[in-house]
Amino acid sequence: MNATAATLRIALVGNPNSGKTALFNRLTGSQQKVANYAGVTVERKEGRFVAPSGRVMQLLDLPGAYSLDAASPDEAITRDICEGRYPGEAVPDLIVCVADATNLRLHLRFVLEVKRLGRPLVLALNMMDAARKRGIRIDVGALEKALGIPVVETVAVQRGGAAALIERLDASVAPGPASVSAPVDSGAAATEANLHEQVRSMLAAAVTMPRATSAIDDAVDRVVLHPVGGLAILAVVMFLIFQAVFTWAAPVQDVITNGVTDLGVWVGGLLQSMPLLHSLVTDGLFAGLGTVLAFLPQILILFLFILMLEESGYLPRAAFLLDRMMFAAGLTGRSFIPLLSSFACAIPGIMATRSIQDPRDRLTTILVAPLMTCSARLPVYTLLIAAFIPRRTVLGLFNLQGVVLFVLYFAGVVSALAVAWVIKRMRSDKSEHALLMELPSYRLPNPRDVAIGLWERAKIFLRRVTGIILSLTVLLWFLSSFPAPPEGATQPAIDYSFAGVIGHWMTHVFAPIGFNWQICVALIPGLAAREVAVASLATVYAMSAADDAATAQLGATIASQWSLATALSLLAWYVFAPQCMSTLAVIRRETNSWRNVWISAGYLFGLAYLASLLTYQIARALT
Amino acid sequence: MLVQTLVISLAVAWASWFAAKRFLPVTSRRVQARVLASFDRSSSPDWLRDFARRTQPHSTSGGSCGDGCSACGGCAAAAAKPAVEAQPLVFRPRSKS
Repeated sequence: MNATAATLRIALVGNPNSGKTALFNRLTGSQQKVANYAGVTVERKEGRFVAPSGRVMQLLDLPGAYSLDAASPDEAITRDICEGRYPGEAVPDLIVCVADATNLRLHLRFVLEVKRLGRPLVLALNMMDAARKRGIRIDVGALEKALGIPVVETVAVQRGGAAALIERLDASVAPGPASVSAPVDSGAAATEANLHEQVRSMLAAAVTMPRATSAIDDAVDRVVLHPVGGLAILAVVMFLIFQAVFTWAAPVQDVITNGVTDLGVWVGGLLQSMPLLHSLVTDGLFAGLGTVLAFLPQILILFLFILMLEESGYLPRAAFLLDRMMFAAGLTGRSFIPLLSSFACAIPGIMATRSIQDPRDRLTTILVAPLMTCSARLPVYTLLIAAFIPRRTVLGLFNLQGVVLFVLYFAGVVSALAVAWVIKRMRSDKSEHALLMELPSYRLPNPRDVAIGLWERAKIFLRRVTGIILSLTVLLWFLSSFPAPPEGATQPAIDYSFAGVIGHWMTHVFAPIGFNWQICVALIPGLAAREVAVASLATVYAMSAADDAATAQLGATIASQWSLATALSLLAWYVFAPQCMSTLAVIRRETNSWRNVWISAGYLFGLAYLASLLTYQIARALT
Repeated sequence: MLVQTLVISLAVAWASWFAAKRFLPVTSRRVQARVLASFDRSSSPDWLRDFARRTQPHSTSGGSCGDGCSACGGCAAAAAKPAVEAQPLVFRPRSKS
């Protein structure tokens, strides 16, 4: 194999939020998650691309790091790979250090640290478009001379923005077999102070900046970071998101629901001669999956806002605003991003805690992350809200259903803070409170990135519908259909099925909180994924429905058969539990402890039962 | 009736296999490997042996859990163990100073 054909192993490193993943996506055509805040990437990611010469480039995207002296688990991954200490990972042939061209004062320090490793190194000056807009001029030749390494300009978010980097990589000659090398310490000269001094002299020689920060950013920050006004803006933003979830989604939801109902009736008509198959298709597939599918618009609207906030650079500001409150509750501002990620799903949220340096703060964040309302709970909430809360306007402006949804999300946040506070009281030692967080420049969300993010989210949802939700719905249908009722049975057939027997048995435990046997049955598959609870309820009720059209009207069915107290009790239950099994598995993986899994599952189920019990008994007394 | 029974049996078998693969990834892979290995015997017809070899389960190489819910090949998989030593939480008492 000649040198041209040899695969070049390249690692992308750099400070957090310098655009490494955007560059990775640009080079490899991947669609890894990008956002405008530090700590999005917490794992190594691998991709490959073919350079114009035909040479294969194997690219590693590594978590951002401020220093090779790792302070958090995600930084340790980067350090270990760069130093060749990562298990099963060869030392990269070439390191591409990605630096934010608008913030070289901070980023060049890390470049100098990486240079000390003695590996072949290229500096990619990313976000050059933003730098030019701000009037920052960089003399690339002078910088190359000062650093002693090749320097290229890139704009990762633009088509062709990585052309110079590809050309440079293509021209690189693969070095001989890489050895595991210890950092090349250039002696006592390489002290922190020296690094800063070197950066200052390089900036003086190669960079002209009209001002250290962006004037627009400063002006916006004066408003959104105001201790009182900033919090008010944050509350309004969150409130409006949940209003939109209900108001905007309704028309599209109606279209999906009607479409699924009509299709179900039509397909059911074709299968009239085969009663078992007819039941599987109409009661299982159309009732179960169709009901869940109708929640896609609401999930996409929620993510539209989350993605735009992520891209804009507002989220780290929100973390800064909430730091004092979060510290009082036993968390830190650093917990904000993992907790916010948990609104999508607790799993990436728990993974994102790797950016928290203090292990106790990290564990507290992991334990409370499942209390954030993940998107899988949205179908349960909206089903119950739509069925029991009238669609009317409050104060002439707000949708009452949206207000209730906001309250449920808020209840999740408050309970997370309360649990964190209890954990803090139980801890004998205290964390130091020092939030050091980089506030990125504001950016207008890129419509293409937002569209890709929404498309990815839709794919994840549809994959769940056609995968785990479909499989569990089929199994539940089977358990609800067999065995057949005995001769002379007086109850509906489903009461004699496996599911019916299990559900009736469970009511011994759940009757005090107002759950009927149908809800009890739905709780079990809800452990796999919370949306399955909705599909399961739809299937169980459809099995008892007299006609096909009724099978798709779960909301109307439960509104007529449940009391308000039961509905409120179920809502309270879902604020706390059940956690899906994948969340428990990732807690086990991240904490390396079964004990934490049991603690997490135990306290959440305990809280759920208590909250539902109080809600049900109080609501029953009042109604 | 026969067609109905066959279709429903297949649907339930697929659903069971899918759920097991999702929530018991290691066990289901082990069972799959064992069943397929029993097909790959010298006494088996060539087509069956070929099928058994081609459908032998590979080690997990799905996306990462960090990509989002359902993105990974099963978070409970043993293959997804911590990649670095520093990742699991290790508590060390702080000095009182």
